[in-house]
Order: sequence, then C-alpha cells, then structure tokens
Amino acid sequence: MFRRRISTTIVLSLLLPIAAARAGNGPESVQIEPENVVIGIFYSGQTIRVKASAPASQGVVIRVTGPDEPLLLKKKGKKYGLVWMNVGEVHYEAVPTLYLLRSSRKLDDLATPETLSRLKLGFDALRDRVPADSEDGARELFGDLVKLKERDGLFSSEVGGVELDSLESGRLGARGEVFLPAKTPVGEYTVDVFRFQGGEGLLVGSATIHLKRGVVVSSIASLAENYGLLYGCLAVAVAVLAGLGTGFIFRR
Amino acid sequence: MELDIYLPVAGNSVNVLLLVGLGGLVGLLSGLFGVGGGFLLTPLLIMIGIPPTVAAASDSNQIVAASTSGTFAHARGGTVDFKMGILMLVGGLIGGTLGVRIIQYLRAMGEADFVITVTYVVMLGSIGGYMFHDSIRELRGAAIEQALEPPPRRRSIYARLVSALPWKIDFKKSAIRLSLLMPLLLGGMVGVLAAIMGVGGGFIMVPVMVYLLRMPMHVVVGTSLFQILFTCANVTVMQAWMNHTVDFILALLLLFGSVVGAQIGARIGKRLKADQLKILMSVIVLVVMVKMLLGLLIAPEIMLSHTGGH
Repeated sequence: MFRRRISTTIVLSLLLPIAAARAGNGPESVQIEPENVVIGIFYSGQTIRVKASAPASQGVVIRVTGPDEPLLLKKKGKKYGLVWMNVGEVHYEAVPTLYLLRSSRKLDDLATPETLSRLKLGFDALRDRVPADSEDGARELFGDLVKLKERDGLFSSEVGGVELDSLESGRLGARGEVFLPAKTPVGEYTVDVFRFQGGEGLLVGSATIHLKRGVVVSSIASLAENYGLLYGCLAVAVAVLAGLGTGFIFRR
Repeated sequence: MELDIYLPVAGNSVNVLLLVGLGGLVGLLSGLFGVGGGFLLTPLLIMIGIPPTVAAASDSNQIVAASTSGTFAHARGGTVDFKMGILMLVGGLIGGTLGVRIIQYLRAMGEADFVITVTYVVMLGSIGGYMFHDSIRELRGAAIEQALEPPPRRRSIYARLVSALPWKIDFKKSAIRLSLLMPLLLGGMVGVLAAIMGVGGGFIMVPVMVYLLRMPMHVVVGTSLFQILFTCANVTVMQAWMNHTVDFILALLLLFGSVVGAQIGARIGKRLKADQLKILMSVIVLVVMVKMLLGLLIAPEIMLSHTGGH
C-alpha cells in the first residue's frame, strides 16, 4: 500500500514536467527569455522578455508572481499626539514576494472588478484577499504595503507595458518586458499571460522563471548561514588585518 | 560602466563606488573624532536598500577595520591611553549586558520604541548642544582664564564625589590621576545607553571622556577608537553567530574606503586644535539630532515599515 503510493508519486512527478512542457509548446504558448537566472557576484537584476501568441483579443495582461509569504510590518502612528513613530504591528497572512503586472490597456477597460479579482489581477484584487475585519487595520493599510513594495521594485503595474501585433495567421502577438530587481529572493516565479475579450479573461499560458544563486554567492551565503561563528571570526580577522595593513602603508 | 555587486547576505545589489565612497567618508569622521560612525552609516545603508539588521551588523564589521586603522595611527602618535581604554572597556561590557536586559524589559512593556527614540534625540541634543556651547566659549578665550585660575571657591558635587573615590591611579597618557572606579562606572553607563539605543556609543563616549574624565581631546580620540575596535569586533561575531546578518562583501567594500579615510582623518585631526575638533563634532551630532527630530515630527509618506530597523 505504502510502496504503491510512493510509486504513484514517482510516476506523477515524472509525468508532470512533460505535461507542463506540452502546455507551453501548444498553439497558445508563452515564451520567456531567459528562463533560468543565476545570481552571480556582479548580478544587479535581470530583464525578462515575455512573448506570447493568442487568438485576436481586446487586450493582453502579463503577470509575474512569486510565492505568497506571511508578512509582519510595523505600523506608524502619532504617539501622545506629538511624534510619529512605530505604534504597533500589522500582519498579512499571504503577500506575493513579487508581483509585476504589464497590460496593453487599463485593467478597468478590459474587465469588471469582479473578474479582475477572480483572476488576481491588479493591486485591488490583492487587497480583496486581505480579510476586511482584521483588527490591526491590515486592509486599510494595504495601499501603504503596495507603496513599500513598489519602492523595492518588487511590486509594479504598468499600463502600456505590453505591445500587440497582428500576426499573419490572424492571431495576436504580445510582447512585454519585466525587470526582476536584485532584491528578488531566490525561488520560482510564475509568468502568466491573460487575454481579454468581451469583458472575459482567459489564461493564454504560463511559464516559470527559475532564480538561483551562483556558486560564489551561494557559498558565501551558506557559510554565513551554517557556520556563523567561524564566518564572524573570519570577518573580524580580515577587518583587523586590513586596518593594520593600511596603518603600515601609511606609515611614513 | 556600472559597477554593481551582489551582496550575498543582504540579498541586494549596490554600486561598488558608492560603497567605497561612503566608507571613506565615515572612516574620515572616525579617524578625526574617534567615533565609529554607525549613527551615520547605518541609516545611509538602509536608504540604499540594505535590510536594517544587515546594515547595522555589517557596519560593525567595517568599523573594526576603520578603528584598527585609526588606533594604529593614533598609537604611533602616542595618543592612545591603553590603561584608561581597557578599564572603560570592562565597564562597557558589563553595562552593555545590563542595557540589553533593560531593553528586553521595555520591549515586554511595549514602550521600547518610544523610549529608544526619545533617549536618542535627548542624548544627541544635549551632548551636541553642550559641546557646541563649550567650544564656542573656549574659542572666545573665556575658558583660558578659568584654566589659569582653578575655581576652588565652589567645587561642584561631581568634583567632590570624584575626589572622594578610593583606589586612585595615574593615567600617564591622559596626564590625570583618578580612581579606577571612574572609568569603570562611566564606561558602564555608556555601555547601558549604547545597548538601549542600539549603537556603538562613540558619540557618547567621546564627550564623557572630555567632560567627565577631563582627558585631553587628542588622547580621547585615540582611546575611544581603541575601545570601539573591541566593542565592534564583539558585536560582529555575535551578530554573525546568532542572527547571520553580517554581509562580508558589504563590509569589505566599505572598509576599503574607511581604512584610508581613518588614516587621513587622524592626520587632519593632528593639525586641528582641540576646540576646533569639538565644534565640528558637535555640529555633526546636532545635524543628526535635527534629522531625527524632523523624522519624528513630519508625517511619514508610507505608514508601514519593515521590522528590524530603529
């Protein structure tokens, strides 16, 4: 029984990538360039080009999202009616680590708020997922969360960020670019392309960006994470040597 | 050419020249005034996108280099009072531990942020204000007369207390004779405050040595740097071990600038008079205080912030 469950899991996990590849290569495919991004020591973010072809439609939206994470933030307020400072905490259960949106037209022109909310398109749709009755004011402050994430480049929404061409086959070619800021945490990010017709939105296809650390960056990060004491002592030793070295050089 | 580098622990990329330049600026202040400069550099690093905890921890790592370089330069010039430094360091370690306990207690009461901010502004304001006032007076020459004629008529309570303390020893480099309890107690006091405010404490230590221990300004700078070296080495190792927040690449780029800056600062310092040094230092402390005060009084643009900062 147990062994059968394991073998089913193995077979399924072997088949899944094949199924995903099929969907990607179908007539309504989405292509991204590059798919694999490696964080080297000179990495400073990466532009991802997205291309898709779809049946003729009124508009196209490209969305790049990362996995949801819980977020604990400090809330600012006036203390004793005098000074602005942290007055409490605000907790969000699930906020996407990355949320980049590019659309050929304004979202409101493409679909109703309900449709956009169902497809999780736009910051309003994200806000709708926050419970309205949270005591810490999480929903009211969602606009500030968006501003905070926008400042880091991890959230963005750009109307006109998707160019559309009519292809000879009568289909529509869509092109857009998103920039993964250097601050994007390592992980897998989903690129979804939607097309809109008559107020309805349909998923054209999806692709995945794999963001990984390169050898040098990953070695330093894992040394810091797993051998903290040794790493700290090394860091101090190098700093002392650098200080002494400069002292010697500057000695007249 | 854009020379960006990725910081593995901070998880962000920054411009190399910007970091070296910032390091140089802070190193200069360090060599000149005997402060670590964390109160200036940490907020600047946060501004360019470094997470607050990583900014503070990596800054400590960088200060180790700058203060080694600065101590070296001052020791060669004979302006480090090692005896005084070691005693204050011992006091500082005890005080720091006590301060961490106090802050835990305040956190539990939920008033920590308010207390930290108010302490910070009040300390900066009073230290900066007093130094500024005092150095202006000295520049005008009023203090010279006082120095020639020691005022024996009405000795302050502080002076009487100091002379009543037992175990007096000579501090040759500072040319003073004091009870060894003094540097221990004052070092402890600075340690408590530094731990509460989450800073190295150089900008409190320097005025304490000048006004409460009556040490000569040039010896103060070298001796303060000597202590900062040990305090920051301790902080760096603890942060790397417990919180994994030291970004060595970040620290390395900063220290490229700061070790050179510290040497230049120490050289400029030698050519300046004590009161000129004091007045410059007081202006910097007051500018930081005004910046903090404005931050408190002006409504923030974004009503949320990441956890971990001051």
